[in-house]
Amino acid sequence: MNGNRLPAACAVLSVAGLAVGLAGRSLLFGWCAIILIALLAALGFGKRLSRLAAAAIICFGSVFCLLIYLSHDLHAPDGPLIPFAGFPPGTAVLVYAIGPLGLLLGLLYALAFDTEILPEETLKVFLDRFGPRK
Amino acid sequence: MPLADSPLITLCVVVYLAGCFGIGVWAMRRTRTSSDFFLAGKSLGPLVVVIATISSVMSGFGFVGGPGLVYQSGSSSLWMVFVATFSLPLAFLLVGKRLRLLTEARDVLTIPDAVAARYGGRWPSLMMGLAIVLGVLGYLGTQIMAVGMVLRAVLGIDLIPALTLGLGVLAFYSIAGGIVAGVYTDLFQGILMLFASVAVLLQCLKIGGGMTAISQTLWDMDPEYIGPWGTHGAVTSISWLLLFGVGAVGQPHAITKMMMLKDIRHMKWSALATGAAYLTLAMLWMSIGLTMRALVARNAHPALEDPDLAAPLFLLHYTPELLAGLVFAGLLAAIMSTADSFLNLGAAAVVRDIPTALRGAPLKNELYWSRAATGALLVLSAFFALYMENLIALLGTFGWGTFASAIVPSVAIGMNWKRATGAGCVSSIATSIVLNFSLEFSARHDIYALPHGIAVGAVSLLAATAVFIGVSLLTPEETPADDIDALIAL
Repeated sequence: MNGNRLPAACAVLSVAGLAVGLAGRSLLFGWCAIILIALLAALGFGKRLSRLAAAAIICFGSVFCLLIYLSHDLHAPDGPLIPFAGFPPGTAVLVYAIGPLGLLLGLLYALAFDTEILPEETLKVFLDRFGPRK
Repeated sequence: MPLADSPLITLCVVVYLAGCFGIGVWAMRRTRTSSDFFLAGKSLGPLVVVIATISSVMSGFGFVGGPGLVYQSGSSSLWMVFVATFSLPLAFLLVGKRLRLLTEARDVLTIPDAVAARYGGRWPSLMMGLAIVLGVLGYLGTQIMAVGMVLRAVLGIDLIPALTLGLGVLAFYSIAGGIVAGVYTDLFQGILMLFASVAVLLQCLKIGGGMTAISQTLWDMDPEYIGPWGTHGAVTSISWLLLFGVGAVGQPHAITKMMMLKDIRHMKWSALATGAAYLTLAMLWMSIGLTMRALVARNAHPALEDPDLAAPLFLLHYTPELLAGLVFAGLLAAIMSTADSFLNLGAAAVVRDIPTALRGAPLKNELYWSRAATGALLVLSAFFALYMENLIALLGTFGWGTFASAIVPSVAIGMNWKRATGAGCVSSIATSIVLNFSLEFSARHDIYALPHGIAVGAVSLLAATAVFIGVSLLTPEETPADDIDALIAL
């Protein structure tokens, strides 16, 4: 999976992010940033990235992109304040959704640890070959 | 900074300093080798690593500068701090297991050691050592000035005696106990900070009349201020999301903590725990700034001369004395925990990384020279902070962005991508140093500023990533050593 495709996609996203960021296109800039983060997460899984984990990363990135859009869309500075759980709606998306959403990546890491991140057998083989006293 | 003038606050801070001193004495007995000094002998449990990571990342900037930024520009800076929920797990995912296992396969104690193992040759590790020294000097200078300011406010003494006291304690436990003292004082400090964050959030809601009342006041003042992007706007906020969300993966004081875990299997839940703990710390960052601004807007408090006074003034005027004392101790803790991490990184770069890159071997009697270098760096940084304020301010802003754009491509991507080359690594680190320094310098001196308020560090990070991957693909393929090849394939 890692080959050169994911890093090449990261390079393309970096250049695209630079272009839209410097052009002041905030929504596109946000989406580039989030897709880059999702690609880096996939890169971290390496060759054992399962379809389930890939789907979870795609969901994470898609929901994150949607939330960035909602933050933009729900912000209506010309009208009266209609608070959601104490904050203006656009800010509430950041505080109550974007912040906690990030924890899903930590949860995915924990759930995939024994099967995809570092299976016990893989760890044993590595330490047997390259660990101390070898 | 205003004077605290409270015996209880003074007592809390003195007890904290005495605690640090005690930990230094205890840690000194456990520090016998350079592996103990730089990596705590790879003996730490998951709780220590989680708390030490968040407390060293939060720093004085989080406890003073963060509320100040919120006071000044509303929600903008929340994009720096809320993204830590995924940035720290991303760091575990990209570099955690590979850096930790590299310490099993090779004599790797530092990030430049890891770069040398990954790419070979002297240039990649030399460039990385240089980037770390530059970043460390700036960070240390700002942390040292913050130590002096806090102790001056709490103890009511002049800056020089305050600096002497604070740096004396810091020097003792950092020199004697190395990173062992650093991580255990971080544990003590981190727990204090977590408690303080929750207590301060509740106090802010009480003083401000609840979150809806605070938001209504701020909305009436300026809807953009409390809107999702704050007064800096969406492009700046998104660039902070990128710089802090991805850039945290490249902070050496955070990722070296992962190399200290006793058992790599403990990483399983550590990633989630660091994200959740940092989210808790974010409550203090957000709540003090918004509440103080609402109080000023209601004319319940005079306007602040300096936004960075938001946290200390709130604590002195609106919290019970004991809570203020604990938070001031927590504030000092946050600053000192970051300073001790950087002292250790700087000493490693001076004594181990740069000499190894230049001579092919580290200095003899490395532990002795590491202690000497820690002391020398502290004195040098204090001198810079006192007499070269402009240079320190420049290097302080340069630090995070330089670490992010130097380390994310070459370590985070490079440890996961076999095709990465030494030339790609050197080019990306050079891009990082040159872009960060030149753009920060030109913005500070009104020569040129990036459009739409986009953060310099974010531009450097994107450019360095593209350069790293592009140059790697354009240069001849290199064959990594067997252990590195196996590590990348893990």
